This record gives sequence, C-alpha cells and structure tokens, in this order.
Amino acid sequence: MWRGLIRRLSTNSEQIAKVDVSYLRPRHRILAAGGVPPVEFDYERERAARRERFGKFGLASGVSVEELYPTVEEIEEEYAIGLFKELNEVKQEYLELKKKQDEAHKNRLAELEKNLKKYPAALEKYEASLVKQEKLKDEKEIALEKRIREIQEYFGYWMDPKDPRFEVMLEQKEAEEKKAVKLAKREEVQKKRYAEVVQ
Amino acid sequence: MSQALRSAKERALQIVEQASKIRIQDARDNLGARTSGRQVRKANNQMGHTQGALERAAKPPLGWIWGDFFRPWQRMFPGEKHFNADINVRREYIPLSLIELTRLIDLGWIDPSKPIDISTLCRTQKFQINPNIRQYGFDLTEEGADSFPYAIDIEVQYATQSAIAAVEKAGGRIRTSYYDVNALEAAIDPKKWFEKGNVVPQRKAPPKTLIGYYMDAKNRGYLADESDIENNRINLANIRGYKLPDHEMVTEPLKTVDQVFHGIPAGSVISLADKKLYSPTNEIHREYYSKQVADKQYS
Repeated sequence: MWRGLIRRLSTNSEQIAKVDVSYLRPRHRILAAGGVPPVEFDYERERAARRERFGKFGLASGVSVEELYPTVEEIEEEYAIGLFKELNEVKQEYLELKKKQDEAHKNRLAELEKNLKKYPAALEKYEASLVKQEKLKDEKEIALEKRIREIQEYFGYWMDPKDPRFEVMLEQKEAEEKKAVKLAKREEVQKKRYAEVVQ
Repeated sequence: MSQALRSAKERALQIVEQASKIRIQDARDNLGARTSGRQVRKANNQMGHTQGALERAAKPPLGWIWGDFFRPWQRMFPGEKHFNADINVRREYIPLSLIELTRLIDLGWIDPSKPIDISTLCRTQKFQINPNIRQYGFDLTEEGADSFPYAIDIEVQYATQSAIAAVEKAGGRIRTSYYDVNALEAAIDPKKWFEKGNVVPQRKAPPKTLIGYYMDAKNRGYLADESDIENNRINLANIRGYKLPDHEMVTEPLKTVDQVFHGIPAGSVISLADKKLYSPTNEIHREYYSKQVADKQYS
C-alpha cells in the first residue's frame, strides 16, 4: 500500500501536464481547442445540421457548398406552386389597376360636375314635392289620429291600432254609430209625426 | 251560457282563446335584465390596487388596461372588427424618429459615413424586429426633423414626407425599400444567418398592394426611376422652401432590387470561418436567384 502511494506521489511534471482534469468530453475538448468535432450523432447527418456545420466551420467541416442550395426538385416544386409572380407581371397588373382607378375617379368627377349643374333645379323640385307630401300626409294622419282617439276614448283604455282586436272594436263602434244615427232619424220622424198630430 | 254557470277554468280558457298572438312589440325585457356594466367587488377590482395607483402611477399604453398588462384588447377581443379586422395581414413598422437616429449617431452606435439599413439599425441592439409577427422593418418618423444635422445614406421601409425632407435638407440620401420575411430575417441578424449555413436570399419585390408605394418617386421608392427621384427631390425642396446641398451623400452604390446586403449578390454562400464568398455555378441555381419575383400577397 505504501509503495503504491509513493509511486503515485512521485510522478514527474511531464506526466502531470498530460492529465486533463477539465472533465470535458472529447467532443467538447475539440471544440474548446478550436477544432472540428467528428460527426457523432444521428441529428448531425440531417440537412439543417450539416448546413449549420458548414456555417460554423466552413470548408473544414467536410460539408460541400452545393449541399447548402435548394435541390432542383425543390426549385421545380416552388415554380409549380406558383406562389410568387414575376416582378414585371405584378408591375403591369398594378399599372393597369391604377389606370382603371384613375379613369373611374375621373369619370366620377365629371359626373359630379354634371350633377352639380342640375342641382339647383333638382333641389327646387324636391323641396316642392316635400311640401306637397307633407300636406297630404297631415290630413290623412289627422283623420286617422282623430279616429284612434275617438275609439280609445269610447272604450276607455289605450289600444294599439295595429292590434287585430282594434279592428273588431272599430267595427263594433261603427255599428253602434250607425244604430245611433238610425235611432236619431227615427226620433226625428216621430217628432215630426207628433207635431203633425198635435197641430 | 250565462256568466254564473261558467267555471273559472272555462273563463280563463276563453280569455286565452280570444287573446291575440304575442307579437314582437309585446316582448319586453324584465326589469334589470339589461345593464350597462357590472358591479365589481373590491377584491376583484382591476382598476388599480390603491387610489394612488390610479391617480399617480404610470398608466399602461393605449389599448391595455390596468391589471391586465399581458392581455391587450386585440387579444382579449379577437373578433372585434374595429381593431382586429385585418390583424392577421396588416404589417407593422417599428417607428424610428430622426431624433433617435441623431442620438444613435451622436453616441457612436451608428457610423454616418456608411450606409444605414436594417442590418445597421439592428446591430445597435436598440430595436427588435420580429418578422414572425408581421413586423416588416422601420418607419422613419419626423420627430426631430427641425434639427437633423447629419448627411446620411439611409434605407428604411416607410418614411413620411417630412422625414424625407429633413434627410435631404441635410444632404442625405433616403430610399424606402421592401424586405420580404426571409430577407428581413437575414438582414436583422446576418451573423446568425451565415452561421446557420443559409444561402443569402433573394429579396422579393413588394406584393401588388404595396408596389405602388415603392414605385412612387415621391416616397423615394427603390423601384422608382432615379431620374424621377431626382426631380422629386428638387420639387420637395421647392415646396418646403429649403436649399438642397450641392451633392448628395453617397456612401455606396444602391442595392439592386433583389439584394439584401451591400456588396453580396443574392444566391451567395458566406463562410465566416474561411472568410470566403461562394457563388452558385449551376445554371438552374443562377436562374433561380436572378429571377426577380414579387412577394405573395399575404405573408
């Protein structure tokens, strides 16, 4: 036991320098020393990882520059999808659209100018029609309102004129009014007769 | 049938039979059925922890409410048409005022003798652009336009007329240009882009709805004719009443329409480790990277 301990303590300085006490894994030791670590894991064989490897270590990574570009299939697929139009085509489309919009705007301005000339006459006509309508409306409305009020006063409570019961009431009231008129006539006749008899 | 003979049930049935149908005008809310708000209990009150918080503390920005700093209105009411109608398509531009730009130059964050673009501005670490949430670059605003001293060569994505005038008055050159998402990502952090081993993308032209802005020489759009821009430059000086300096600040030739970085053509591969630039030799790749295309409408 003692011999072993003495042997361990008596190692020379060169041997000490070789001992790595950083506890880094070989991969990280290479990275720390500025080297390129070998491909070790599965993910490193994937495309994105290979690209990143090139990005980090350049040509020393063992990744060729061609690998970084999209494949012909990918390019063809992008063309086939047709998501991106050509610049000149889009420019042309925009210019056509603008031309159309400008024309529409111009036409609209011309139309407005034309209408503005007709405006005083049209306004006068409109105002005249407004007055006429108001008058007609007033007469009708007043008659209707009067009728509604009469009915409501007659029955003694408020009722919506749109209610179907209102019409029934209206008929009822009209019948009663007719009856009243009839009675009044009869009375008049009777009075006349009475007067004749009395004379 | 006389009144006395009928039972209460029969009478009730008769009333119901005679009654008219329930109509829409008969339908009314019960009392208290509708309220304009609800009473919040003290424990649930989100309007500020104390009266002082309401009166003196910093208020959240517009659109954000007290107690809910992490839920702005557009997220709380995603269906609201007033502010959310086009939330999935509208583009956001990070405002950059002239006074901010002056300060960045004053403090040495930006070198005015070199071209200023997205990469330069993002390198200062003072701005964050996230293309994934439809942030599309910088909007140069006119704050500080009255005293902008530097002749600069700047490229932004949007600029007001006052900002353009201020830059040109000082002898600078300004262009507005469009970056699609890919190009923007590369421009924001070139180092990260190159270290990922990505090919320098081709900058796509704006879509149909935006191309008008960048084709307009009034906006100093990068798709406009240079002669038109020169005329507009003189015109703007006449309108605003300032004298243009004898020569414009030109640090480097303008980027081409599909170029993301000064001096690096689209389709190149950059190796930072080797300090080398590789160009495609394949005809298909050359054609792919030289074809000028416009970006898709919604991205």
